[in-house]
Amino acid sequence: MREKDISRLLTDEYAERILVATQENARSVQEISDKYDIPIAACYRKIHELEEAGFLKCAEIVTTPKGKTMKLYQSQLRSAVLMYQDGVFKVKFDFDNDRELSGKWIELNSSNGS
Amino acid sequence: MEENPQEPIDGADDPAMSPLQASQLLTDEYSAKILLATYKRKISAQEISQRYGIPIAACYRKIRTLEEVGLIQCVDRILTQKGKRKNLYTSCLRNAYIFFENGKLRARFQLATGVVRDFGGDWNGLDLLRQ
Repeated sequence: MREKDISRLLTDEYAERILVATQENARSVQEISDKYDIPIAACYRKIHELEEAGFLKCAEIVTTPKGKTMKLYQSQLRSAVLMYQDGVFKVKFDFDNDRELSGKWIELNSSNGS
Repeated sequence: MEENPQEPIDGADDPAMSPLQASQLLTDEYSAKILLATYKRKISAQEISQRYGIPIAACYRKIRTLEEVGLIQCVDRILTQKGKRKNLYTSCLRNAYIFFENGKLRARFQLATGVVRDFGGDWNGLDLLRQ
């Protein structure tokens, strides 16, 4: 996933709610969908996108009383900054775990097109 | 061109827009392209649409949204050879910052006029900038 798409993910309404929901505790998709009023299919889709981008991690797999397994997700993102200065967009992410992307300013594009 | 009579005062929270909506103005692909296209130059909607590959209707719509929020403005109305009026736009946005921290989103826009508009309340994200 490209950085531009990653920063757009941050300002996606559902993605933002999911990141907020999983900030403190690991939660199941069902729980996030119910508590934060996100349609269940969209919730699964966004969670997979966020997981792929490294914002979310499956912290635990539990078995429900009905014998189904359920994944619990937790946010890995501590903070994010998106900046627009002198006609240039830049982003910086800080993650709980050490990642290559963490703590670095990434330039997205300039006013010369692209 | 119409001047916005109720320009919010310096540093005041804009009740009309949530920090999420404000940030989406920057992360939306077309809006971002328009802001880049109009940065320090005058350019028409038609030209933005062609050079940045934005469908013309979407381009007009986004320009209107950005104009309403005050991030771009129409600085010139020129007459084309066919006798039609063409609006030229320029970006009023100098700097913008979006912070996501402790599960909260905040945004700050600095306009060319020196006006600062904050979205999302209690703003002390400057320490993040210095890192």
